[in-house]
Parts: sequence; C-alpha cells; structure tokens
Amino acid sequence: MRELSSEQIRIIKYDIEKSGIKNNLLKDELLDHLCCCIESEMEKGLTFNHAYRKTSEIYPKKELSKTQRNLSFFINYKSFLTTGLLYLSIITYIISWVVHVNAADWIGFVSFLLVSFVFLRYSVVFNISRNLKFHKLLSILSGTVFVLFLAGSVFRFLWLNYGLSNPHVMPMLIFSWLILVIISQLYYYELYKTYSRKSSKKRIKIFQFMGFVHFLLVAISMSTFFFPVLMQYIPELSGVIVAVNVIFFIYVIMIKQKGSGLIKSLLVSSFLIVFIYFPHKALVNPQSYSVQFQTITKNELDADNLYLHINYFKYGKETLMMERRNDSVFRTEPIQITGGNIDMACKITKKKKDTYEVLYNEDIRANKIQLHRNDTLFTLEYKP
Amino acid sequence: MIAKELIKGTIRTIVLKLLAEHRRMYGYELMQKIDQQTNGKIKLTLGSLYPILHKLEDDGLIYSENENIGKRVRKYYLLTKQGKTEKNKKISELKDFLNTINSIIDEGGTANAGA
Repeated sequence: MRELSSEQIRIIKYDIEKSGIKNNLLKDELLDHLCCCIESEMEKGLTFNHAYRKTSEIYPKKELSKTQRNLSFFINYKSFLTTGLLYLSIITYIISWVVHVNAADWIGFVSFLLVSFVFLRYSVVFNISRNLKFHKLLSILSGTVFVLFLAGSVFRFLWLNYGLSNPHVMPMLIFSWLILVIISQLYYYELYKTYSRKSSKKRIKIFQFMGFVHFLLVAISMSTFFFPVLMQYIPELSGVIVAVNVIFFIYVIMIKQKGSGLIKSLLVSSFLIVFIYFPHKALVNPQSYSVQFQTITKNELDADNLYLHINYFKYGKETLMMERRNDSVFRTEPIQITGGNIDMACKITKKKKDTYEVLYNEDIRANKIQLHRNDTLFTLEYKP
Repeated sequence: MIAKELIKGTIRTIVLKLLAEHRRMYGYELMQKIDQQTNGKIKLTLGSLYPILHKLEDDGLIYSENENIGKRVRKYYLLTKQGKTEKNKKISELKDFLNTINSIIDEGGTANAGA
C-alpha cells in the first residue's frame, strides 16, 4: 500500500487540530484512521487531493469533534470523580483551618477521608489496568497509601480532639507521601513510553520532575524524625512545601494533560499533610483554650521550678515556668493557646536561660509531657 | 443498514470477539472488518468506535501497543486475560438475548398467522 509523505501527513494533522481535537491520544488515532482511508482510496487510483476530499466527506469535521465529545463522556467521568474529590477535599480542608467553627475538626477529617478514597480508587484502577507493566505493584502501593493515609487521618483526629496520643501519626502520613512519590514516578515512566507526541512527552517529563522535587521534600521532612534539632525549621519547611504545591497545582490545572490525576493527588495529599505546620493566620479568630503543661520527674530534683522551652509550630517559641506542685510534679500556670493543633517541639531545663542543661528522658517519667486542655489530658512525646 | 438503536448495545461484544480472533487490530482495521463481515449492514462511526475502545482499555479488558508506521503512530489493541473472559460472557449473553427475541418474534408470527 502507498504510504503518505510527511507533507501530506502534516496537512491532515493540521486539519484535525483545526477541527478542535485536543486529546493527544485521540489525535494520533484519528490521524492514522484518516491516513489509512486516504491510502486505501489512493490504491484505487485517486490522487491525494481527491482521496482526501472523499475521506473528508466520509468523516467530516463534525464527526471528528463528535468523537472527542463522546470520548470525554465515556472516559472523563472517572477523572471527574478523582478531580472532584480532590477539589472538595481542598475546600473542606481550607474551611476547617481558616474558619474556626465548632465542626471545623470534623470538616478537616472529612477532607483527609476524601483523599484516602482517591487512593483506594487508584488501587482498584491500577489492578485492572493491564496495559501498565507494573500495574500489580502500583495497585499494592496505592492500597498501602490508602491504609496509611486513612489510619494517619483517624489517629490524627483522635489525637487533636480526644487527646489519644499516637507518636506514629506523622511518620505514617509522611511515609504514605513517600510511597505516593514512588507510585507517581513509576506511573509516569510507563505513561511516557506510551506517548509519541513531543509536547505530551515534555509534560510527562515535567510531572516526573515534580515527583523528584517531592522526593527531596519528603526526604527533608523525614530527616526531622531522626534529627529533632531540625524540628524548629518545620514551619519554614512546610511554608516551602505549601508554596511549591500551589505553584505546581496551578501549572497542572492550566496544561490539562491526560493522566494528571495522580500528580494532582500527590500535590493535594502532601499539601494536607504539611499545611497543619504552615504558620498561617486564621481569618476568623480561632477558638482559645486554657491549658497547663505538666511533667513528672522520676527522681526528686533539688529545684523549685523547671523551665519548659516550647516551639509551638503555629505561634513560635516560648519559655514557660513550671512550678513544683508536689515531690515530682511540676506544672505551669494556665496559659491561653489558640487552635486545635498542639503539636510542638520542647525541652525542659532547670534554669531559665541555660538551655544546655536539658533534662533527658531518664529524668522525665514515661518520657512524656502532659497537657491539660479543658478536662482532657493530652500527652506530648518528649524529645529533647 | 441496521438501525443504530439495535447496534448500540452490541458493539463492545463485537469488538471483543474480533480482537479475540485477530490477536491485535487498530481502529480503521476493526471498522473495515465489521463492515465486510456484515456486508455493510453495520457501519460504525468514529464517534462510536473510538470512545468504546478507550473505555474498554480503561476497564482493563483490552490494552494497546503503539507502533510507528512511516511518519505516524498506529495504536494496536489487544485483549487482556480479563477481556477474554468478558468476551465469552458477553457472547453467551448476546446469544441468549437473540434467542429470546427470536422466540417472541416467532411466537408473534405464529399467532398472527393463526388469526
């Protein structure tokens, strides 16, 4: 069969684009379809011009644009679901942090649940996507992200609202973020191979670059678990991550590339994970709580007071005096703190300014600092 | 030509059946094959074939392979394992449906003849 020249293919491609076909995968298929039809007509003895005219009568522009419309209806309803869930989770999450209403904690919890279900959906979709080489691995990893994200969200909610401490909440969420980075790199590596168009390949490369940036960010975030001294930089780090995510997200929305759902999920979930440490200002005055910090020493100390140096992520550093209440219990006066989040880095010293003479876990009973908020006793992990 | 309404629910089954017979096929080839085998009675449009192919791929029943043909790319579709099972299921459903329709039409024909 006679093959069309590059120039003839360029003309057909131009006309397809002119008819409003934006989906790159469909563009390639329609191009091949029309080329086959033209070649078949040319086999019967027609010139290219005549064969192209005849083909255009069989497949008019209206038919091409109808194909795209039908394709959007068939395929996009699933990505509408993912994108819809992601947008809804962003809206509910921002509401829960910016507007301090009584149900804010519940709204925030719902936003985490919505994102978890996006990963459950990915696990199912990858499981049936046989055209992906690593589809089983991707499905298992997405399922793991779903479990970790869901468990992390539930524990976080219980901790913030009912004082049920679980030191694994943040590691769980950060670890799910790391797995998500791996999933996105594997997925976009596979997707890259399926595209032939340079512009699509370039966009997928950009998604891979975003994934790599997230790999660096997640590595830095994880280092705070191993080097507590880095915890004081968490507000700055979370500020950088939030800013990077917002810029990336706007870009991803603007380019409208097929297969962008996963990178959107990565950006939204990491946004949710780190935003709680972002030193933002609430638009409405947040709820204020009266709290007292207390610690119980293991041995009787020859001091009347101890000093608690806290770095409260949202409101900066502070040093509080803890008075001796009985032989081993030291407690601060009631202080007012705002917002529901009470995660913080802290250390206890015997002298107010001498921050080198730090009491370590061997001095603090059960390695804990306790905090009373209303009638609830919260327990903070003590990591000097 | 058979009415669109009658063809609508059967295209998926026809595509799965043809892919099972020919291992791998591309869009134009599928359309031509259906046209030939039905003596032009079933004519698919671009707007009905490609969305269905993409949907089947999305559902994991078929997968695709790209191949460079001269200066352009051709997308071949192949059945997955799940697609093979689905094909058998869909064909037996379709046969059952056709038998049911036949029984109604034949019965109606007999009754009319009797009257």
